[in-house]
Amino acid sequence: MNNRPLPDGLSEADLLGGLARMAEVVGKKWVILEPEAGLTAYYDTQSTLPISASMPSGAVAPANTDELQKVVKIANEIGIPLWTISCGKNIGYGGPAPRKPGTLVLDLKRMNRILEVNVESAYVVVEPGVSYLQLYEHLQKNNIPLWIDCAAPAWGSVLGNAMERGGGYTPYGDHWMMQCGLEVVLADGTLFRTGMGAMENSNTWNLFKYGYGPYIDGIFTQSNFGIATKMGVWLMPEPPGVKPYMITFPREEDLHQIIEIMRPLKVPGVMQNAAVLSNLIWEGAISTTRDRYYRGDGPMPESARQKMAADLELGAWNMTSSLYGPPAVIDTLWQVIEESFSQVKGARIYLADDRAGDPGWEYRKKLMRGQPNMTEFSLLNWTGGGHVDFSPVAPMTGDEAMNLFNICQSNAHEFGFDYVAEFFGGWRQMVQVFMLLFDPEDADQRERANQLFSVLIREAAANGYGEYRTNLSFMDEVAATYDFNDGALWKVHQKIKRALDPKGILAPGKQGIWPL
Amino acid sequence: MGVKGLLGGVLLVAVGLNGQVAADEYEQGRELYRFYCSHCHNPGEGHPGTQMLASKKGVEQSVIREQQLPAEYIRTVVRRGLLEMAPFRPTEFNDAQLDELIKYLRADQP
Ligand SMILES: Cc1cc2nc3c(=O)[nH]c(=O)nc-3n(C[C@H](O)[C@H](O)[C@H](O)COP(=O)(O)OP(=O)(O)OC[C@H]3O[C@@H](n4cnc5c(N)ncnc54)[C@H](O)[C@@H]3O)c2cc1C
Repeated sequence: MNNRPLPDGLSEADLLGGLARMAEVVGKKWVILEPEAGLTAYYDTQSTLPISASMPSGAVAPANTDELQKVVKIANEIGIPLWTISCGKNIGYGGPAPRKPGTLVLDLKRMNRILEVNVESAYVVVEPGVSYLQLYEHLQKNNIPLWIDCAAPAWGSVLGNAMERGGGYTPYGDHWMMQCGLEVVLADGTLFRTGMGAMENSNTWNLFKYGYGPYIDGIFTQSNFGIATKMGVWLMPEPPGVKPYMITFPREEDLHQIIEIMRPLKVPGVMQNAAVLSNLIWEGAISTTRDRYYRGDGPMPESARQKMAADLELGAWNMTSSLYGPPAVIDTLWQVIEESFSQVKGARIYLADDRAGDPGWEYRKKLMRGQPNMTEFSLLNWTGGGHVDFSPVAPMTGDEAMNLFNICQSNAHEFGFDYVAEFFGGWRQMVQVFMLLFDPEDADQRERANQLFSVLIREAAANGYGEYRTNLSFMDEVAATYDFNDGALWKVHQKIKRALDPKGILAPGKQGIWPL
Repeated sequence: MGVKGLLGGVLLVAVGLNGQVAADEYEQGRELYRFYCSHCHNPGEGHPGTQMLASKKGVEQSVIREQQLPAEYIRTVVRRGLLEMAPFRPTEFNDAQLDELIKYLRADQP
């Protein structure tokens, strides 16, 4: 009890008084206060900082929107800060833990109803607690020929991941783009619907994104302006054909040519889904462990990497993507893709049934069909579970790719870590996710990882790259790199914050937005 | 019945006379395991939990369903996480459900 971090300006009695009132709303067992009652499951154990840096004071879990509104009103009245999570699996970015110690986690996992599946127009309306796996199984069980698009981890939230503007692997992989219609609760308990949903008897809430007047859905993503309680999500009708492919490229410096080939295929949509280009260790870590190739400290030496590449039939870079549609369309597009990437010397192409028994290729194929699984977590076994994701955005050009790669790999090696990364080819940009993997039990590694991350933020920013999302520990640092006109955008965020949440109770510090 | 009966053996045991699913002792735990655990802990490649345990403890001890792990140990790992495994919160499954899961995990293999 005595170790409980408290929110600023509140005594333990204030907090407990507020929680007692919340317990009357949600039921006593849904106010979780003690480690033995499960509060430990709200800690972030995998970050570079100790657990105390993001330790919540407790958690509260309403069962429905009505309870949620009551909880928020109590919190607002007393000044208890709330950190909203949906499925709470934001692993690599902080998991379920809050930015500031003492914040109460508002856990929406119990609000897990699939409210509508519209087969004709191919969309669903979900509550925050609906996971990818749950939605997938629901569609399968009911023989509904619609695909979901999932992030790599099956337990993620359809709504929560979209609120973070996360991504997946089918042509519907830009999750926020596929969002249509939001229901939001504000800090004072007000409930409203965006877009066409603002009309009482609207029949297009989940069909037309923009509505009438200002289009505000986006300001609730990666922010602390409101709490989403329902979301419409467009689903892709099951296509008549699918052709997943993997192409391996032998040399690190091939990256330049690969990206130059990729851009003119991505911009007009010849490549239809994310073009995912993972490096050797990322791809290899799915099927093997580090100690099989290297037992020393520091980054795996080149010779060990070469051996691993040969054993696993992998390249320095490995691209996975897929084509979708009527077979004739697929065949035509495939000719272009095959011809284009075959220009890279040593490129090797693998199709669906090739690479039998390679778990890396198997899970990629599943993800590109929207079939949730957990295989990618094998990556975290590389060093024992600690990891923070560094995710800068860059122009999709060969020069920029090489530059970003060099910045990340050389710094990673200098600080004693492996470079484990994936480039996501988007429409015109690409995101590089560098998974900084370290042993969380090793204080020295944690400290070095922490330093490395800050160096990367600074060097990336100096080269024009900003992060699209970041771990709790680095939210302020990344926000500071968005510095045009003396950080004018973050000043606008602060104004919106003051207007919508004057007491600053929602997710203090999220993305560097703090109460005044 | 013939071939169909043989293939459907498991199913026939679980489905009662009027087509309703009969509640066997491990049903809830089995379903919790399937939904929350199996994707990481089933045998075979592509399962990160199994991969991790194989590298730490050896292949023979890599499948949690075969280990009869102590109940308290399972409870602690589930609520606190371990290495790359993130913990599960009471809102995912509560303590009573966790007991069912533990019962299933510790049961003899069918
Ligand atoms: C091995 C591995 C692979 C990964 N692969 C991917 C991937 O392919 N794609 C990807 O996008 N991510 C990936 N991630 C990152 C992360 O695990 C996922 O994004 C995951 O889906 C996020 O957790 P969640 O969906 O449960 O969201 P939550 O944890 O519930 O929410 C995430 C954040 O969104 C905000 N939020 C949530 N709910 C609400 C709400 N109702 N109202 C307002 N704000 C809200 C909060 O700030 C919250 O912290 C990966 C991580 C790992 C470790």
